[in-house]
Amino acid sequence: MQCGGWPPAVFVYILSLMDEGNKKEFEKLLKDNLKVLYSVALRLTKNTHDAEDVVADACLAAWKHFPSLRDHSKFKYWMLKIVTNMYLSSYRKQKSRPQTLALPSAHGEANGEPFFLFDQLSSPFLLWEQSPEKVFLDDLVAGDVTRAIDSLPIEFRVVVSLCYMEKLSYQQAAKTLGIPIGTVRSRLYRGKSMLQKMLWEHASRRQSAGGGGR
Amino acid sequence: MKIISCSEAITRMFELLQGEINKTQKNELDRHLASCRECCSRMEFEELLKEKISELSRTDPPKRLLRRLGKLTKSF
Repeated sequence: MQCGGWPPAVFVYILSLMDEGNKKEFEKLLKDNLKVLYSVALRLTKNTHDAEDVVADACLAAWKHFPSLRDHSKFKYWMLKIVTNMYLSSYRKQKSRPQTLALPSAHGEANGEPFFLFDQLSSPFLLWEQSPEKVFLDDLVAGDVTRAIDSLPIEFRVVVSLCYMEKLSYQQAAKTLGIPIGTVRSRLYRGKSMLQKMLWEHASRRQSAGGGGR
Repeated sequence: MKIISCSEAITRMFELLQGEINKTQKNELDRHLASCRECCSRMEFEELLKEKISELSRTDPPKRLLRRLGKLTKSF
């Protein structure tokens, strides 16, 4: 049995204090939110095995502290915070390893200008048979989104994942990551710009390869 | 009520999509959108894009993880 650093006897004693109702409630909340938690872990780790480890470790840590969570409607946010911090602490430990280095953060914002997909789709030089926005959205597939998210440097990927995809407020993300709200806002803005640029590049490549469903 | 430019409207659109906008700013944005077709289309596109990206970035947990968590919660 994993004890997460606790002496086994203490760990068993703590667990024995939990009543069966608490356990059922925890299992239910975990089941209801597992897809979101796994998706966030996968976006952060970029591989399934590490994502599974992060979720399992987070689950163990969460169970230990579950009695301190008074408002169960905040379970999702609470767990996202644990999952994110689990990942970030393992990322910091591995930071010196070459394979975990993030990509340069400059891509996606040539000359520091934000990139908007909408502006590209509205370009008069492109000939579209239907509404370009609709065509773009219809053609967008999970692989494009995954590749675009994976290409974001970690500091942007984590904020985009929490705020843009999981709808955490700036304040919640700032608290989770231990950074100022202004930093969350600016990273989100730049991260979305990079994400849109990557999606545009994938779509353009597909179009030049003759695909795109038109 | 303040009249806002397209550039200010774009910033507010993103804040609105994050739920980080106050009532006055929202009213000013609504007023701008009512008179600017391009910003209106942009707003609609950004909403749909956000929805689609969120949907496509969700992945079902593998059965292996479900089994692992099942064993873990049994041990609690």
